[in-house]
Amino acid sequence: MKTVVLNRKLYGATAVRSAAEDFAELATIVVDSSGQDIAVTFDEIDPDVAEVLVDEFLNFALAATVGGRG
Amino acid sequence: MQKEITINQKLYPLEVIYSTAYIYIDRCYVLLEKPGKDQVSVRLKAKPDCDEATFAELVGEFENELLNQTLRRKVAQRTEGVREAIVHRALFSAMPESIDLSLDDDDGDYLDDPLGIAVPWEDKFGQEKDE
Repeated sequence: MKTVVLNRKLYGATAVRSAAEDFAELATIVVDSSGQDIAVTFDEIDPDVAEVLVDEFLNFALAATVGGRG
Repeated sequence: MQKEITINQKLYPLEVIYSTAYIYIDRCYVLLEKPGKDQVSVRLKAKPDCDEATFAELVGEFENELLNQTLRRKVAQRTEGVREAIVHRALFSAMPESIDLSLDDDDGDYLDDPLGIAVPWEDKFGQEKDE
């Protein structure tokens, strides 16, 4: 299990949730935006993409934020 | 391989950092963090197929792109009024002047048929054919 904390001023909670939906088939991703920041927990990651999944997810979340999905 | 760049938001607004990061997300992994007030930290991480020299070049390009995007933003802000005026002028010019949509000057009768389009085909040509 791995947790990444994203700053709410930089990442949109809706964008992060949207990215989590996009990656739902590759891992179990839980987005907790109830606190000051957005905590994203990754579990049961597909072994084929385990090395890059978190980084790719962060790129997706950033793209969604910049693209206005956040 | 990864490199962290700390950016002063007073020099590079968040909008500029976003647009620069967006350009690079297909070439490397980008993570934004906020180490302090008016500061944004950009962590660039090489993708698996990226070698060291390419990554070093990419980091340099990223920093240059920050300047580029800042300039673009400033020019866009400076010319906003001119661009709006051009669009307004273009839309206004494209409006047909000959079409008057008001009904005030319309003194025509709905029964008028100056082109004869209301005359049935049989009345116009039918009799000639029969004869």
